[in-house]
Amino acid sequence: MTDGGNSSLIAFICYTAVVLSLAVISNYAFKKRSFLSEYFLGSRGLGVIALALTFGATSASAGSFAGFPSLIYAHGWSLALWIASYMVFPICSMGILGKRLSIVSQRTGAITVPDILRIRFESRTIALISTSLLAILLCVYLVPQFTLAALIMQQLLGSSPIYQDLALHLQSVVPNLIPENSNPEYVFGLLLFAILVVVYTTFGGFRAVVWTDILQGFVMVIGVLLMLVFALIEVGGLPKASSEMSSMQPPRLGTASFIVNSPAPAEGIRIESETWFTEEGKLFRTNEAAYIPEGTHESDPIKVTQIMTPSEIQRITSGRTFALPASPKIHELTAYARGDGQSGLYLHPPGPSPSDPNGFLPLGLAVSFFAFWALAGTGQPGNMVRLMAFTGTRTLRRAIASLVIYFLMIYIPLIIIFCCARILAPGLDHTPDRIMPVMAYILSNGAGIPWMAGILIAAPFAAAMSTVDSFILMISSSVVRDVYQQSIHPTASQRTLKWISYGTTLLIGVVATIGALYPPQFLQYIIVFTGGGLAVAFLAPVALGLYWPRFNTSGAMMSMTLGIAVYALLYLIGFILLGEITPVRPMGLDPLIWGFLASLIGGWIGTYLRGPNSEGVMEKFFA
Amino acid sequence: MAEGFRQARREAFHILVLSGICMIWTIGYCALFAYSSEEVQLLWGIPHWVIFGVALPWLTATVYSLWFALFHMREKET
Repeated sequence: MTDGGNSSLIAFICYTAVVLSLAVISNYAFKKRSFLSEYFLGSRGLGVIALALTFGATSASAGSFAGFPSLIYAHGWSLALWIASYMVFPICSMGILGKRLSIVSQRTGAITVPDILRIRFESRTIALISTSLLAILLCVYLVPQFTLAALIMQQLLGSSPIYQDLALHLQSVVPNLIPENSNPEYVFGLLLFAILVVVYTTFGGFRAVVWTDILQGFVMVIGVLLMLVFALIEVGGLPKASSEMSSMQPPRLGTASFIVNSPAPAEGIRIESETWFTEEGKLFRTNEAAYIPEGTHESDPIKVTQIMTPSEIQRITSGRTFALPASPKIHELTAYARGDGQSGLYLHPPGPSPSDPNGFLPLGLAVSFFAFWALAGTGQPGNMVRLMAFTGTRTLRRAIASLVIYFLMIYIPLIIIFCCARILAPGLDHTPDRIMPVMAYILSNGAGIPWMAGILIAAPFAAAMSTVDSFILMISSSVVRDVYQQSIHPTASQRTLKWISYGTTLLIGVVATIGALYPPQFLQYIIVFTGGGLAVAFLAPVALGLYWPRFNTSGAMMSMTLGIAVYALLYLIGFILLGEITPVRPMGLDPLIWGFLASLIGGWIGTYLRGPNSEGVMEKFFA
Repeated sequence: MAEGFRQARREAFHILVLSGICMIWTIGYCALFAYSSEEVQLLWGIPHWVIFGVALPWLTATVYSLWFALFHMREKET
């Protein structure tokens, strides 16, 4: 892994240099334009490729390259149905609101989503409510994104000796920076990521973010297509892979420690992660590294996976002996709640599940996810802002066409690649989040070009960066434009606005970094909760405001508050009943769908309580 | 109301109908054929239900979206 680790480090350094150069060029090249419009909206100058790729790269967060592959690895082909809604994602998220948002924002001079709402509903209150919701939910959303990015950095670069030395050096120089439950490699990765993203976002603004998104968009699609080709070659073709998957039984997940008879020597004894071993004729793989400290006899328990498929056990053990410096002691093993002892489950929904006896994707949840992705994508303020940053329907039309092809080239290949991963990298079921870098190393080494790992694994950190930079800038724009300029200091000079924007962008980045130093539990649930909350809060008010002339201020207020209240209530009930951030799902449908329906009903009722907005608004929005 | 606004509204409605059809096709086909416990049939290594319940509607939606974006959406309304 050392060669791979160093190649990843070199790829990361090259990538960093390019990204920072783009920020510098962006800052100097467009100095003479109106600051706010340029800094937060790129002077509405996005072209076809820029619009398509910034939209695609922002939508494909770290989850697409860390969470999604791990789900495919854990549950197999069921993920094709889970992600199927992406067939209409581009046309929904760009086509439904794009044309209207672009035209209306140009006519009114709006540069943020709360700005649009303020002008449409002639209400500063609604702008402040929406800014507060945006800032709070996005700040919460940023913390797990920074955490995931730091984990990705740790996984990608952690095997490089240079990276390890620098992380240890950081620990010795500022020991108080490393929290008690954390490790120096994680913190070093977090700081590297945070400094890079915050610097180029603060310095370069929207245009730098879009330019880096274009670069990141290309990195992602090239990485995925290369992995697809290498994976199919390595596994011997998709028919062979699926045939092996059809005989696969879910593994058992457990913990084990390692024991030695004599006290461990001065350097201790280390058993690496992903090491195979047998115990009483059963085949296991470590999913974490184990360490027996000097003078002791036993390591702390670590996660292990037991392989249960007979043909797989034979393939892995055939002609091999597994010599370890310590004897394993298995503590516990848990069978899957659905699928234990059964084969063929990786080929169809609901798929195997370690915790849910109904499987990973029951039909009600499949319906839910189909609606979820399309609604959540259309309702994301981050996507809406991009739809305000171009001029002319021709750009939008061609960007939709490009994005349709782009998503087809990303998501279908990802499913195939990580189904192949079940055969190429078995036994990682206890830590499936590691599957992306592990596959990058396997495929590049299998192809005889180890340095290629650096290019393949650039995709996940590109995905993390492209989402985080956009969200930092969006919070900053809302605070500066909708709070400071509109409510505190309407006559502020361009120079003042510039330094306040830089300061706010920097501050948000620092807050998210501090939050990620003490990472919260339930990362994925927080991402889903905040992402859904944003869609529920903004989709109906913005869509109805753009398409329904009668829709008015009280309708918008009720739509926003009722939607978010129902959404939060379903999560609150789930939290009270289950003790974690898992919602209740009436009729098997996600809270986002119930929240959206409540938002529509609230909007309809509220609208008929009061009269329509002024003629001036009608003129600007519908004439 | 301007013709451009009405045109944008028609196009949005069009997209919602397309999404509804894709959802019915995908969920309907998968409900009938993917959740069955019978042995899964493969074609080129891909399960049948993925080809006919996900890949085919995905390709259809892609072709339709391309046609819609490149030839159906109007330039008007500025």
